[in-house]
Amino acid sequence: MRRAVLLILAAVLGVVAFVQVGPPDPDVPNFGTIGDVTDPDGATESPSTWYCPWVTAGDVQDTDMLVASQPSVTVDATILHPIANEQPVTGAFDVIGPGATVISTGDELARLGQSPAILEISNGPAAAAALQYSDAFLLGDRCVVSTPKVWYLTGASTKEGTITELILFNPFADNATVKVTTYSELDLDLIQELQSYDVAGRSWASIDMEPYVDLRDTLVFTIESLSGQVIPAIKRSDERGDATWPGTAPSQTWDFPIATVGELEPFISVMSAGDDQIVVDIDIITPNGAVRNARQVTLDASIPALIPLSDLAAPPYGVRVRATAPVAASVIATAPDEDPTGGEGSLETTTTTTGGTDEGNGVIIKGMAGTVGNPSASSEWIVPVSTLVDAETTLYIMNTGTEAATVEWEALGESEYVAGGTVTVEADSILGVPVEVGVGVYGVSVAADRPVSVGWSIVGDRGAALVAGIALR
Amino acid sequence: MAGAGFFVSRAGSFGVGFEAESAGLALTGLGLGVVVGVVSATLVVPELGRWRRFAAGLGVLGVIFLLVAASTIVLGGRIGLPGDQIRGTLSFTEANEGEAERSRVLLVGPEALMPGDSRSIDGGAYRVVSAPVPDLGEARLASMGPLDEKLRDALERITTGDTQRAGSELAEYGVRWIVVLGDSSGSDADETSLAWRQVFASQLDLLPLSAGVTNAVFVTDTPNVGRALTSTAASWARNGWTYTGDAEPGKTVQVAENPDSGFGPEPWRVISSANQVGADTGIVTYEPDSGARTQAIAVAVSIIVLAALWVWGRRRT
Repeated sequence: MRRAVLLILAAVLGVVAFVQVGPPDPDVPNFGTIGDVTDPDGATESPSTWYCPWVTAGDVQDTDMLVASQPSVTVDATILHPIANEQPVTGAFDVIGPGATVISTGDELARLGQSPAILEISNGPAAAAALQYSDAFLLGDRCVVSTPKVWYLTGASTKEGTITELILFNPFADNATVKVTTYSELDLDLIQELQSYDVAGRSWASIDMEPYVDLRDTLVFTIESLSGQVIPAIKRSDERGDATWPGTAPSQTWDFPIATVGELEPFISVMSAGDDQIVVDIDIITPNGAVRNARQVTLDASIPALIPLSDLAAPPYGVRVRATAPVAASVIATAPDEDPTGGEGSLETTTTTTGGTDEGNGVIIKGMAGTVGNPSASSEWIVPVSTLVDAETTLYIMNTGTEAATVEWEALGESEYVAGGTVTVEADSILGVPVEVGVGVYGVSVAADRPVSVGWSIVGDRGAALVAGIALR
Repeated sequence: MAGAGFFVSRAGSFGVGFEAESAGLALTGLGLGVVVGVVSATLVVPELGRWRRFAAGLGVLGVIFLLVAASTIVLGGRIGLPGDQIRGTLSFTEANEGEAERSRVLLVGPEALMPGDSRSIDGGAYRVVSAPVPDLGEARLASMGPLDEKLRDALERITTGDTQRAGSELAEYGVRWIVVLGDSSGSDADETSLAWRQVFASQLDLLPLSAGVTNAVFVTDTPNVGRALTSTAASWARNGWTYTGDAEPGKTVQVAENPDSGFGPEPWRVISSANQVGADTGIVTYEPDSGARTQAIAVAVSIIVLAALWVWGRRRT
C-alpha cells in the first residue's frame, strides 16, 4: 500500500511538473523616451536638450540662439558641420540664473552656412529659441525639446512664388528612416521617394517640396520615424520674406498669443490628426475683448484647411483654436499683397514703412511670419526673446479665462536685474509688453495668478517673426 | 524522488532561483538512478509474476529511452550546454588591438539572450561583461554593490531621457560598447530589443557600428573610456583580477569595480563608488577575501573527510 502511494505521488509530481507552462514573457520595457505623440514642449526642472534645425550662419546672415534659465546653468552648444565626417563645432556658455544669454552662431561658434544646432542645458527650468536674420529677412521660433515618433507640420505651401523646404535634422548617432506623408487641399499625396527617406546620423536633409507637390495652397506634413529619430522643421519663403517653425504633436486646443503684426495677414493652418470629421472653432482675442466662435470650420480627415483671420479684427490679436478632436495647427502671416489662396499678387513692393497703428513703429508689410501655438495655458512661462536695434520686440500675454490675471514679468539677461513689472491682463484679452532694446534682454520670466499663454513678436525693417513661449511643466 | 526533483527543477523558472533548479535537477538524477537500479535488479530475478514482468518491461523501455536521450545530448558534443554565441557577438571588440582588455561591453535586450544572470530596469534586461569575451566567473552576478547601483542610476537617466549623453554616462564604468541583443530592426524586430535600440539611437555621443557586427552596436564617442584609468587618463589593461599599465609614480588609478579593500597597492580609497589605488608600480593587484577562501578550503576538507569516513564505515560493516 505504502509503495503504491509513493508511486502515485511520484507520478503526480512528475505529471504536474511536466504540464507546467513557463512563466509569461516579460513585458516590453517602457522607457518613456519615445511615443507616438509627445507631451507639449516645456521647460522642466531637469537638464534638457534643445534642437534648433534652422540655425544658419554665413557671410550675410547669422542666427542668435537664445537661452533663458531660472537656475544657473551651463549651455553646451553644438552645430553640425555640413561636410560629412567633419567634427561638429562646440562651445560652452554660462547663464547666471535667473538669467538669459544669446549665442551668436557666426561670431561665437562658426560660419558654416546651414548648420542645425543642439543646445544642452545643464539644469532647468530653461528654454531655447533661435532667431535667424540678415539685412533682408528675419525668421525664427522656439526650439524643440521633445522627440516624438510622429510629427505634424502645418502651414506649408507650394503655390506659385512660394517655396517650402522641409528640414529633417537627425542629431543622433543612429541613422534615421522616416516616412513623410503630405496632405493638401487636393487630399493625401503619397510620394514614393519620401515613404522611406534616410537621414544619416548627425546630419540633416533639406527637401524642397515643390518637385514633389507643386502648386498646393495648403500643405501639411506628417513625419513618422520608421527607425531612428529626426527633428523636423518647415522653412517657407517667397519674394517678400521667410518664416520657419518646428513640428508639433496634435492637441485639442491651441493658443496663439499673437497671430499677426503690422499689416501681415494671418491664417490658421489646421489639420485633423484623426480619421473622423471634426469641428474647429476659432476665437479671436484682442486687447479689448474676445470674439468667440469667430470662425467655425468642419474638417474632413486628411484634408487640411487654411482659415483666413484678417477680416476678423485689427491687429494685434491672439487666436485660440478649439477642436472636437486633436488637431495640428500653426499660424502663418503673409504680406497683404500676396493672395494667400493662391492667386497671383503684385510682387513689386517689397518694403513699405508708413506711420501706422503702433506708435513709434511703422506698419510693416514686408515679410512673412509663422509659429506654432501653445497647446495649453500655464501660470508660469520662460521665454527666450531677442531684440535687434532696428526692430521692436513685444511680449504678448493672452488670458482666455473668465477673470483678470495678474502677471509678474521679469526681463532676463546676463546681468543680475534688467527690468520687470506687474501687469493685469483682463479676461478674454491680450496684452502687449514692449521689451526694451539695447539693454541686453534675452529672455522673460512670466508668473501669473491664473493660466495664461505667452508668445512674442519681433518686427522691423528686416521683416517679422512670431515666436511661441515655453511653459513650465 | 525523481518526480519531486523534476517539480522543483521546473519551479526554478518561476523565481524560486537557480539554486533550487540545480538542486531539483540533482534530485531528479538521483531518483532516476534509483529507478534504473530497481529495474536492473528486477531483470536478474529468475522468477517473476506476470504483472511484475510487465512492469519490468515498461521499466526497461523507460531506461532505454533515458539512455538514448542522454546519448543524443552527449553525442552533440556539448552535453546539453548552450553554444558559445557571445564570442562571435563580441568579436568586433578585438578590431583595435588592446581596446578590449581596457573596456567593457554593456549588453541589453531580452533576458533570455543574456549570458548568465542579468539585471532589469523598467522591464529591460541589461548586464555588463568583459571584452572580448566574458569569463566563466562572470556568469553569476553578485548582489548589487555601490558601483552597480550607480550604474543603474545612470541607465535610468538614459532610459528616461534625462540625459542624451549615454557615452559620457557609461564611460565612468569602462563601457566602450553597447550591444543590443536580438533583432532590433525590421518588421520582425523583437520589441524589447527595439525599445533598447531606440534608447541608444537617440544619444548624442554614441556612434553606430555597422561593419562586421551581427547585432546593433554603438560605440562611445567620448574620450577617456577605461575600466582602470590613471589620473592622467591613461587606461590600463585587465589581466585576470589585476590591471597593468605604465607606472606613473605619485599618480593614482581609478578602478571601476565595486569598492573592495582587496585592491592595491596602497593607498586604497573609495572615490565615486569605485576603487582608487596608487599607480606607482604599474599594476593593480587584488587579494581575495582571505576569510572566504579559508571557509571554502574548510568546506572542501570537510567533504573529503566525510567521504573517507563513509568509505571506512562501509568497509567495517
